[in-house]
This record gives sequence, structure tokens and C-alpha cells, in this order.
Amino acid sequence: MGGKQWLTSLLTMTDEQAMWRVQNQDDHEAFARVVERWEQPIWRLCTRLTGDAHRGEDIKQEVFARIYAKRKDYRPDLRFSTWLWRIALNLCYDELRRNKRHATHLVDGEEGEGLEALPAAHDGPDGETVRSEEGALVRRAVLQLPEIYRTVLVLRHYEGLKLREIAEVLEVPEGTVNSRMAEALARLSRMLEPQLDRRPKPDQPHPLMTL
Amino acid sequence: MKHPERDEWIPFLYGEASADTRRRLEEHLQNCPECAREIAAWQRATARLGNWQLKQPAKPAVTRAPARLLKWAAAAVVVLGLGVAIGRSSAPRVDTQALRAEIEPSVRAAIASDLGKQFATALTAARAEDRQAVITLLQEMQRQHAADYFALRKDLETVASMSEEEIRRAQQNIYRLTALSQSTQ
Repeated sequence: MGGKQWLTSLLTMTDEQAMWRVQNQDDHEAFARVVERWEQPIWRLCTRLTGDAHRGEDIKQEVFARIYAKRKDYRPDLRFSTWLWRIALNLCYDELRRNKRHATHLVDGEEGEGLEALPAAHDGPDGETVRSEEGALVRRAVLQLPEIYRTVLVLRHYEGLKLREIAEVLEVPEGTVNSRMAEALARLSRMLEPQLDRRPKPDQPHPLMTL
Repeated sequence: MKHPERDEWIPFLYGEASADTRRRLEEHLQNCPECAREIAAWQRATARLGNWQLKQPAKPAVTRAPARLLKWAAAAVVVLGLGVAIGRSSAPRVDTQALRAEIEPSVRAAIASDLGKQFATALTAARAEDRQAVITLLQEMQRQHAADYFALRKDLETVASMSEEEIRRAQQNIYRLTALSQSTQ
């Protein structure tokens, strides 16, 4: 690492250090630093889980409001980002559950998860660029996954969390993460390549093809 | 042929499997067309995930109001918000009407000139003691300057239940903010 980088990293507060200042000194500057660092990833998570950029924005703000309101609850033995992701996920789930109750039309009738009717494959809600038909296709497929599978997929592939980190955030064993991820990938690949299922299946039950 | 359990493929796919496991699974893939086909399909699917890019929604036009104006706006909100609460308690410790009259014209001028009509409207509504409008104003400001206003919002939303001691302390804050804004004029 270059000298300047090393020095910068030395002088940059870690999240945990920043939260200490927020907790004990109501340090708004430190909190602003934390928000700056995390608002984009949190927005991305909330937008991908709910499928809506504006709802993602609203939930994101609620996340940071809650972090600040509950700053005294944060214990530094827990990694700050773990705590942050957890709060964001819970708020996203609340939102998804709220929608379920009011949903009048589910996507494709199957695994809509209570999302409002998704627009046609080419459009995304305002604020989301679906650069191509391919992007729209992928978006639609991910949004059709049940939320427990969508969650592990988004955390791993869009936010780069390691499998163990995901297990910590979700407070489940790593085996559970692996199993959800396998299910997510199996479903995703079938949604993107429906012809997969038309190939002749083996006589013996196959662990990979348990759909 | 004995196949690996489905879950076992995940650490392997993400490079988090042990060397032994990796070797075992690689060997299986070479000898088992069914698993190879399925795993290849998973890999194709994950490769496509990157095509779903997000565009950050455009931030509202006013994102860089000078700090001085923010403090003015904060002072206005606190004063007007507390005006409601103090009106409800027994004996007001401070003449909020006078304080408001003193601050408000310059606040409104400063705010209107830089932050737009929305604030002027909210101030009018707040004078009619519509706390919701004040809170909406605060939420709008939060959108733009997240960290600055969390504490303030929290205070406002509990202002009705403030004890006299807390009101007294809050009034000191108002004076501080007023003094600060006067000194920066």
C-alpha cells in the first residue's frame, strides 16, 4: 500500500470508532461520516430487496434514523456493518410484509412476495436504470425470488459479503446460508433459462435438482 | 454415482471451500455431466446478475445550503416547534412570540432565498401550530442533510412530553443558536 494510502487509513476513523463518538459524545460529525460511507450500499440493498428506488430511499433514511436513535444500544463487540445490515434488512422485511397485505396483483401469480405489479420487462420504476433488456430480465427474476433467497443473493452478489458475514447478519448457521444460496441459484437459473427443466431428468433423485 | 450435497457447492463456487473439498468437487464435476450441467447453469446465472445496475435517484436540487442557513433553519424549527409545546405548559419561561418575531423575518428571507418556497409554506403552517408541517419540514431537511437533523427530529417528536427542566435546557439552545446566527450575519 502506498504511503499516502496507509496514512489515510490510519487517520480514517473506523465505523466502530465513529459509533463510539456518536454514543458517548453525540458527535454529529462522526455520524455524518458513517452515513456518507454507508448510505449508498444501504440504499442499493433496500432498492434491490423492495424493487423500488424511492422506497429504497425512504427505508434508507429510516435505517439511519434508527441507528442514531438506538446508538446507545450498539455494542462494539459486534461489527458495526453487521448491525447496520441487520437493521436495514428488518426494515425492508417490514415494508415487504406491509405490501403483501395490500397487494392486489402479484407478479406471475407465484413468488411475487407481495410486490406491487411490476411494470413490463423494459421499464423500471423511476430512478432505476435498466440499461438493457437483459438488466430488466435479471431484475425481474431476482424480484420474483422469495425474500429469504433474494436476501442472500443480494448480500453476496451485489454487496460482496462473504458467506460467513451473511450468516452473522442473519444470525443463522453458515449451512443455512449455503442452503438458501443453493436454492436461490437453482431458482434463478431456471427463471433465466427455462429450457433447463426440459432436458431429460436422471432416474435417480439428484441432489442438485430438487425443485 | 454418489453426488455431493447441494449445499456443498456453494463454498466451492465462491472460493471459500478447503483445498481438499475443492479438489473433490472439481473431480466430481469432471466425471458427472449432470452436476456439471447444473453448476454451469448456476454460474451463467450469477454472471448475468451484474447486468442489473442501479442509478442513484437525483438528489433534490438544494443539497449544499451553507451551514449558516442550516442553523437558521434549525433555529426556526426549534423555536416554532417549542412554541407549540410551551403554549401547552403552565407558565412559559420565554416569550416565544417575541423571540419568533425577532428571528423570523431574517430566517424567512434567508430560507426563501436559498431553500425555496417549501420552507416558507411550512413556516406559515407552523405558526398555525400545525406540528405535522414542522415535522414534515424537518423530514425534508433530513433528506438533504441527514446527520444534522436526527437529534433535532427526535427532540421535536418528544417535545410534548418534555419536562420543565428539558424545556429550560432547550430554550438555552435556542438562545445559543440565535446568538450564533446573529454573530454570523
